Amino acid sequence: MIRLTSAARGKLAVIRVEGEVQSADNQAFAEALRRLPPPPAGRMVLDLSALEYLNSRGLGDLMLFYQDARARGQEMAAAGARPAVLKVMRVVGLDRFVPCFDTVEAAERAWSGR
Amino acid sequence: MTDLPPGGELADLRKENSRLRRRLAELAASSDTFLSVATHDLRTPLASLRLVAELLAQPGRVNEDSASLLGIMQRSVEQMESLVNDVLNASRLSHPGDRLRLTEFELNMLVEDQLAGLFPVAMSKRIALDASLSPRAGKIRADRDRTGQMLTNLIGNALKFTPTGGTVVVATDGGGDWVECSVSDTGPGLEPGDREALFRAFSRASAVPTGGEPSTGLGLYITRRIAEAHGGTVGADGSPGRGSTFHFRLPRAAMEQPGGDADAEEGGR
Repeated sequence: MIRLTSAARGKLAVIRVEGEVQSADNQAFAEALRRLPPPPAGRMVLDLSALEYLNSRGLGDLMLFYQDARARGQEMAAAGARPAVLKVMRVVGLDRFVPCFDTVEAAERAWSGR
Repeated sequence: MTDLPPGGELADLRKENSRLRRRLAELAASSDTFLSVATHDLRTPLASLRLVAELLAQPGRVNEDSASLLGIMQRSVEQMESLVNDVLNASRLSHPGDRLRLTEFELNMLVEDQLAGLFPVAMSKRIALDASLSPRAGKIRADRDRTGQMLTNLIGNALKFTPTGGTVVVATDGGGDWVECSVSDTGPGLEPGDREALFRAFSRASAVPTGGEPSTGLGLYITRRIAEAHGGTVGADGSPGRGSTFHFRLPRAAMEQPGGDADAEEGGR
């Protein structure tokens, strides 16, 4: 079961991803990503602290989501990913394009310094 | 009742038996040494070949036709490396002096590591790689590298035989003194004769890899040998057209091996 919620935090859109993405959740995850409202200031942080597992198809959907966001000129970061999720992001090199922070606050600080 | 041979004859038979056992041990050791040296000597030029092919394949170095030929070369090198590594691993498992290196670790963390390493393969075939890891698996005392090798063999096999768009599920569980791991797939399943034969050296299932991946027929044999060296078991379930499940079960704490003998019976030499 997967749940995505979006909230504004200053100029950032924080997208909280909760639950796990197994094959039964892939369609719902892909649709939820597509339905997300655009970040008002063009910057968003994926809060992955409550994401327990992300399967290979879900990771593919996340990569596509990032590509689309980048094509629209938006910036994206990830925060709080658990070791299992961080591992798969690193294996495919997604962390080189989507900076990963320990917390949403750390991502916010990094962006406010620019 | 069978009459025992006279004392002198019995002593001669014992002597001959002892001589034959020594000779067998010598031959086995010689065979293992040959395999280790041969595979090591094969790996070095293969590594050079792979490096050269990778350097040549960099963008702009060769034209499109040559790049296509280089791709064939790289895949062939990969296949040969896989075969050599499997033969080397099978040989090591048959070596009486090669002990398990037992350490304590979290089984689920090892599964997560092995799963992550195979994500690119799953993604290239658009296979959903799911995980259902039970906290009951907990900590185990085993050879971490070899347990990882079992996982890679089983998950890698499932990815090989599952068609594009399919699903592979890796699950763990555990009880008081045992843990187990299973890998289920939505591949072609098992034919009635496959189940036992699959875990023998150089055996192959009726099905073929869906992406043309190389298969040496040693992966499941190596998996079985590793599980047995830990005092565990392996198994497979499935029927034609209904996918298959491969699993291993290990004692939570493998026993130290006094003689380090991972060898049990037939095959592998």
